[in-house]
Amino acid sequence: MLSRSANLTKAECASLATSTTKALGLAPRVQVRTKRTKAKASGITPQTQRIITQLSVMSARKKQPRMLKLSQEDLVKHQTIQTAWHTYQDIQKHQRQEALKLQFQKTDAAMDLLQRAAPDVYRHANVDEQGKVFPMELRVPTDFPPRKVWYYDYKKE
Amino acid sequence: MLSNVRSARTLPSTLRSFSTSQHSYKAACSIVPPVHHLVKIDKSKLTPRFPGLKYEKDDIRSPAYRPTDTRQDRLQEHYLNTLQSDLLLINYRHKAETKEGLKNRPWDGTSPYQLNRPMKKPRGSKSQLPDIRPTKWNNIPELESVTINTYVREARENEMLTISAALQLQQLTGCKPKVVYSKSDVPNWKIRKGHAMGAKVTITGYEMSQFLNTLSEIVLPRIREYKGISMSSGDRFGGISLGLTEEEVKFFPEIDLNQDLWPKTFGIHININTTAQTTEQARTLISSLQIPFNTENAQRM
Repeated sequence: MLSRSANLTKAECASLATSTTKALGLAPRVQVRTKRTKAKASGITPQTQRIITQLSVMSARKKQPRMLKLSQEDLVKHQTIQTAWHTYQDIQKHQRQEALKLQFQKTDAAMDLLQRAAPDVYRHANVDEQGKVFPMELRVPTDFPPRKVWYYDYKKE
Repeated sequence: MLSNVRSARTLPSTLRSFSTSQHSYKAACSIVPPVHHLVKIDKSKLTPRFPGLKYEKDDIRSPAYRPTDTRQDRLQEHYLNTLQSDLLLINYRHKAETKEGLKNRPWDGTSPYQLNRPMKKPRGSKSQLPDIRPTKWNNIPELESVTINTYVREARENEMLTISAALQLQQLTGCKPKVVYSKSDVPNWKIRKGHAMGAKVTITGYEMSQFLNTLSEIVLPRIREYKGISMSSGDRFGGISLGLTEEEVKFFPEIDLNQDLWPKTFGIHININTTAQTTEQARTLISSLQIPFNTENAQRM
């Protein structure tokens, strides 16, 4: 209680406490709480602290954004857009599949024809190409390609 | 007790007898309706208390909602626009037929002891192998997932190293890894069962594309005298693996840009899983991502 009264240092508090207890004839009470000046003696080494930091980086706690609260109108808007997007994706997927199917069927028809028309050429055309690798020059397109897009006079060393 | 059994026999079979003497001639699983415990009941769907839990995870009202398709996936677009039709053509073979894999062999039935015996293992293989179907428009090889794992040998003495390894995987992929534990005791290697020994993470979709792009455009070109993935790499069913040493991992920009934070890095194994049916098909697919293979120049196109 004494320590809460302002502007007293730790030593003053302690001496005041002992003097009052002596005056009252009580056992000395030396436990006085002041502001902590030393680090908490919890035994956390820097290595342990490092591991704690690493674990906290990995944990999902407090990293998730707050849940969205949508009004009824917003929800309907969102669902409409989602449905439209999924429909569009389905259409695109279907179109791609159709194109590939057509490619396959046309290849098949051409090979049928070739087999009847020119068996020698057909044999060369029907070589097994399993395990063929793409050239390293085939690049994944970028949004910002280099200024010189294509090296027309490129020679493989 | 006897009367109880008799009544159970005389009554229609829909009535269940709860007598304990039934155990002696009871089937191992319940066959008398109502058959319980076959359908698992999700109690979160029954309670009125948490309405958010009743929505599907792709519903925006669900707490587990995560937006998808938020970014352009460069690699996926390249695959759909360019590679898919090329792969169809490369793997095309006229009048190709399904190549049947090795299957279990039946017994010839000459001995009565062969009744109910499990079938013989296939010749030349410990287990059955899948059929290889001709590549058509609907089974063109495609990237499925990438699993990255790291094994930390020093974790035998210091289990905490696996946390650093897991964090490294998270930095490289942006997904949460799992710590892996040893499955058995190996006294020669001083490994104890249940000890944390490494970490792994499986990535799909955008994260996978991002990782593979970084790998092929930044990391692999910076490795000195890199020859490419070994031609012997690959399980026979469309997966191909490569490894990076702890020095090579430092070329990832996530680690390279703050090397002070990474006094110790860990080598990783990268397993690329595809829907290809053979290693050759998978090699064709993976070579299209600018990842080199250790082939002769003549074998290249």
